[in-house]
Amino acid sequence: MTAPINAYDPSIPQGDDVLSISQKNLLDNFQSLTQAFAVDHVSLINSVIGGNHNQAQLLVQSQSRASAENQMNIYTKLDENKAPQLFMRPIGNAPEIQYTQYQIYPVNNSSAFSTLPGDLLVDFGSIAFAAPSITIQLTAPVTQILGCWFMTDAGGITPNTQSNWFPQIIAANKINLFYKGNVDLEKGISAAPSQVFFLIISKLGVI
Amino acid sequence: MTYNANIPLISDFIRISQLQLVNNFASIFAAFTQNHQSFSLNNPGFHSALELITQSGDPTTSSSQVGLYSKSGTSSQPQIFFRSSSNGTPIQLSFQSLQFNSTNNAYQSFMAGPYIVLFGRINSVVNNQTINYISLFPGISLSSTATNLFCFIQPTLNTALPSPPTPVSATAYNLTNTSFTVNKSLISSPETPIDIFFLVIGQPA
Repeated sequence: MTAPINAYDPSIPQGDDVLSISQKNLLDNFQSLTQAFAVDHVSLINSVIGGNHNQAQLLVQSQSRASAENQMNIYTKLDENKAPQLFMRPIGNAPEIQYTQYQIYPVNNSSAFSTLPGDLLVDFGSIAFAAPSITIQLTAPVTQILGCWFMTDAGGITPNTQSNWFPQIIAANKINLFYKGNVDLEKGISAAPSQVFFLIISKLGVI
Repeated sequence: MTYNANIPLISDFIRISQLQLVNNFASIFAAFTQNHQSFSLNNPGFHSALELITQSGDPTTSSSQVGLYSKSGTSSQPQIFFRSSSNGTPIQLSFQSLQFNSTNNAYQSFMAGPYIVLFGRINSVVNNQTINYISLFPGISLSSTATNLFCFIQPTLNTALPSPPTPVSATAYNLTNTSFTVNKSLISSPETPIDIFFLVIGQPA
């Protein structure tokens, strides 16, 4: 942590100052500006790219930051686990997004979602099975379901324990698409799987 | 117009210092417009963008500080990195491309790490068919380190379940950084091709 720059005085020179007084004040101000700009930025002495960032060291904020209509805000604050994380506030003070420690907005006790670059929504988790099929509702509006992967606790590689999932989209509207997986069990299975683990990747957007 | 942090000197006359002072104030004005809202506009001092110059190493972070910066990442291209507090392990946040292959409805994205995420749909797959998935994503190459590769495939259908149901399971084997082979267990006979979703996660080469 660096000490405050106390030498900077925004009120100098005064109108009635003589240069013998102002000279030191001006020099202190210029050197303070040079020192302040040197933090994370290319030095002011560089006449071509002076002021560009070398890096961004973000002091942890005590609360979320707002954003105006034409502004995105990137900042750091503590997450629920009291760890400093990177957050983004989209334009227009839209809901805050946690960038680091991927995720997680809990949907319920056993499922969650995250996103991938490219406007991709990733839903994953587990859900209790109710024969003969279950419906999983996605967590955000999507334009297309791109892939679905499932595992069940009754799955396996032996003939007597094979399960059979055929993902199928069964309904769509302007709010949510719904996803249905039909389960069929082979002969010899006396009970349906009690739990299904799922991973669904979709294209985000409003239909 | 070069900024001079060492003016005016105590021995200078004002006719000398005046131009130097103007030059310095002009330099500050110009420099501040880099990535910042100009002094002459509303909200002066706000960032207009965060353009990060590629660094040769990682910044030091204290217990109350994290770092966001750019340095050379995988494929020797500059990438955005995040370093958590107390000099945590740097994490690459970005990758240089996103791809979509409409033929197979296949996407390439990425995750922090870095990891490359490849997924899509392959139709009419038969048992023991080798899928060259990497060919769907020009310019993408994955690390050949086996422990950094993951593959999961899922049978799927375009229509409702056949009646009677035809139980199918499929797994991927012989996974490499370019292809995998499908092992399809089909109970009914004769065997019929199936459609699969594939998901491959690996590190960039």
